[in-house]
Amino acid sequence: MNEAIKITDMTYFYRGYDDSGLPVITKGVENVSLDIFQGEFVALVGHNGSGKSTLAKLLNALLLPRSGKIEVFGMDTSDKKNLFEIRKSVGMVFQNPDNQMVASIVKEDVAFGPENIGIPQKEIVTRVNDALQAVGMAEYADRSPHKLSGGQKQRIAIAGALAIQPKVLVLDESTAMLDPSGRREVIEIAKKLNKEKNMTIILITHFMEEVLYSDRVIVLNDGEIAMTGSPKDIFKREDELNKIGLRVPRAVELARKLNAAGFEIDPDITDEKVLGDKLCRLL
Amino acid sequence: MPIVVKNLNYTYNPKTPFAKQALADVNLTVNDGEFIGIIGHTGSGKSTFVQHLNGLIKLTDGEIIVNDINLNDKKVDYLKLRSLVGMVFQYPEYQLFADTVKADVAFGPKNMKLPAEEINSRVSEALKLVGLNEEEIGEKSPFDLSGGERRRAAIAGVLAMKPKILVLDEPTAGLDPMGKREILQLMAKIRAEQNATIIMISHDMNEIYENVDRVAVFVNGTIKHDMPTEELFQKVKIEEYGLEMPAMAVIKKKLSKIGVDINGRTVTEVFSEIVKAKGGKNV
Repeated sequence: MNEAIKITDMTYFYRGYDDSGLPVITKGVENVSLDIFQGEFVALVGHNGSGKSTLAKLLNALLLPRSGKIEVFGMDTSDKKNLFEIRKSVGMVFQNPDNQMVASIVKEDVAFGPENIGIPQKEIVTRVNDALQAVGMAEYADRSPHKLSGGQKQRIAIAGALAIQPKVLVLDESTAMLDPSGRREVIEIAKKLNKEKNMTIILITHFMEEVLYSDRVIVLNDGEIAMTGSPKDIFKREDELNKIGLRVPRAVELARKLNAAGFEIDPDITDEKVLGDKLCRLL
Repeated sequence: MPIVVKNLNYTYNPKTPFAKQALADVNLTVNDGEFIGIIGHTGSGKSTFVQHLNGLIKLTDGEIIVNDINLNDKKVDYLKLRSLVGMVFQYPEYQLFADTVKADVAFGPKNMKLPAEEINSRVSEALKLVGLNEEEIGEKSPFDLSGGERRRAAIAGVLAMKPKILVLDEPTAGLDPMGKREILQLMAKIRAEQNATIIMISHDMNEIYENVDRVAVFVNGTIKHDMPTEELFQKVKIEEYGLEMPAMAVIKKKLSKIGVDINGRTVTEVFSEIVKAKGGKNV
């Protein structure tokens, strides 16, 4: 598999000043080495302040490493001449859908990105249509984005990122403010883009249930990588997760408890429906 | 004294082409000391409804009585109403503004024109209640706190007004699992120690299920269901409203179909009930 992103021994810290005006340094991420492959679906989790968003911003050169290196499709993000190509390669969608809307009509909002990178008008139209099609919002092209639901707004924000035709899509807590069906909409789109378009997805989330859709989970703790592995492997390390402010999904927690208590229950069960059916046979 | 809402209607931008009915014939009574959850899809009217309770949205059609304050009266004492009903908005930490944590928490009581001594003791009390060490962080800038701490500092600012009724709009959104748990434990503590009535809006069905006594379901501006938590998730097809079933409720529903009734709603409670149900049988 080809590497989409290669991070080597990267450190980033924020510079600031304390109350008495003296310079202080706050850790962002430290000594991170990580390869993300093309077509991979990666979930990035960690407590508030663990460095997830810092890492996301380093991925498309919104921040530059203080030391170490990050390469996006072989392009060093610290090299200014790569900036344009890197921003085109890595699309980002953030938490609050309302802060990401720039136009008063959906299709114009989606066109904002390609317009900015100087795509010819004719192609913009095609790209906007394709992007809206991909997120299932084509029929809303002429509507006002402000009247849409949270999930629909985030799908428009994703379409805006897709119109740049990135190879990597970073969803930085893009489901945090949504209702359950909105969360599902966004996750379904991410899964579809990953499967059908082989798009590399980096999903940053606090919902441990959403981690289940990923090929690989990366757990950050205080700016460093604490664990990596498949969702099942990560969930096995429940105690370690609890120690760093995370918890496994409730169904997993119950399955593991029951297994430990001697029940004939697979401790790797992740779906409450499967667990419920299994219990019906046992009780 | 309870909260009584009768036949509440509300239309945004009335008598204009942009008129949109947000609430339609809402009826709800909340008793003293109750912990009630409000759920519903984005745009279902939840926030519009709770903003009526402390007069942030002026009552235009219907009846609202909060304790002994009748919002239909010609002259409503809004200062009194707002110290009675404490409102914690979504992402309240974005509303922190003062130089120090203490000054921020003192803002509410100062507006109530309380004597300086009383203000100080309320600030100390509120910080203690939310689990923040006054000595350690009282003089710090709110921006130097972690995400979870900032949220708790913002809640302390509301608690310092000693509201009898606490309304929280998605108080755990965007927090990591540990941060969520801290906020929910705090709410249980406030309820136990201050005998406060708590109204919580949330999109997280698991936390609704584990924490509140009763749930009101908003659908298109009206309360479609209002019943005890357990009854709601066992009887009502909640998925039809874009919501999802809590994990433990899924398992309990399946088990009750084969005649095994399980009490409790948290993973730990459900686990020990299952062990009990299994009883002498071989596992």
